[in-house]
Amino acid sequence: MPIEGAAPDHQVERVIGHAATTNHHPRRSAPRHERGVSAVEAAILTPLVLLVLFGLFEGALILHSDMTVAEMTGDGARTGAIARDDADADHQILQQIDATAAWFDRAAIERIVIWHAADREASPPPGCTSGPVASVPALACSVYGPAHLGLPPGALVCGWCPPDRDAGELLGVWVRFDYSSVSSLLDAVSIDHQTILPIEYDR
Amino acid sequence: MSSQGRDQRGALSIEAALAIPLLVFILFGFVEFGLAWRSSNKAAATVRAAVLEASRDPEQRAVDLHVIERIRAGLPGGALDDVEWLIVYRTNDPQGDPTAACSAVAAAVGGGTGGVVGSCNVYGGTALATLGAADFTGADCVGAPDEPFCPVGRRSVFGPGDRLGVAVRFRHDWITGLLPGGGRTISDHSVTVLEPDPDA
Repeated sequence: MPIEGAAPDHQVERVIGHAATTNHHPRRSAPRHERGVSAVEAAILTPLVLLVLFGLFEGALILHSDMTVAEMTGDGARTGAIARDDADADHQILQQIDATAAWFDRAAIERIVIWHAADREASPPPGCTSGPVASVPALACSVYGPAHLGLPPGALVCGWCPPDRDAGELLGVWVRFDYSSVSSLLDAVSIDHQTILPIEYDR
Repeated sequence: MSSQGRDQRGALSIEAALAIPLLVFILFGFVEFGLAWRSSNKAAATVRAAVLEASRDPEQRAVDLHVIERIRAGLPGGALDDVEWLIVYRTNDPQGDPTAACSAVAAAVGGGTGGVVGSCNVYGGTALATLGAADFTGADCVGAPDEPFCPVGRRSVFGPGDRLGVAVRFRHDWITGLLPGGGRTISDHSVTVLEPDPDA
């Protein structure tokens, strides 16, 4: 065979091509009735493999979003606990949430609730987490949306206002984020988290 | 398929019969491992949040209830039914483990409460799920679940190098039933120094 030694590639191809032609099977040696099996297999498997691949990708992004939202509430509540009764406490909280959100689409940070929690197992009142994005003084909750993230302190309307925040009271921060699927496999996934921390003493 | 020799027919289905259970087992193993890891991470975050809060104002009358609330709010859903014990303790151990005496009380606590005077309070699973603000009353803790290691005057029993700790043990159940033992016991603890006294 001439493929011994340093035969150039085109020569190898020619030799193989020649051998195949003489064999009457142009592509491979499978019997006539098995031709195209691999194409059919590929047609079945490719969508499945792509589905799994996109599923992994989507799953990782959702997990990442979930953790980031949890971190946003944690950082926000910590900031609020330290800011205590500072007049611009809510502004500080929103700035911290904005910083932790990093490359998140701001418009998807649908709602931020800062509320006076009754205990460490509490959830924000339903009146604060639904309805228009506006603070509800009667429920002791400040409610903000993406539009409030860049506003100066004076432009924020609080519902549970800093002068009413005393050391030892529980400050809750709740965030809802709408994750939109990148692969269009899923409808939007709503992710919410909260953190409750006691307001610090003025030491 | 019929192109295979007569002696090879069915080889694929036998291979599949061997491989599929193995693959499913591995897949379920991944899921189980992921969930157990998640529970363990949640437990670590929860005991940390609990001890930070307890160290912040350690002489507040209801501080142990605040720890209990943190644990109830932080542990993964099903795990709360399977808590064996929660210990709020003082320790000098470099690793931050509860003392042997406290661990012995925890091992025998069942669903009730107990402790070691001046050293720890132990809350069993049932107690942890049911205790509320009404249980943590009385200026000297007499008759209350936190009587052994009463928060009132708690700072005074802390010596040099002593730290405050929160430890929890709960059972994490497997969901697929394929793995042995039905579940796994997860324990974690976190210790920290007491924050300065705001009134001092």
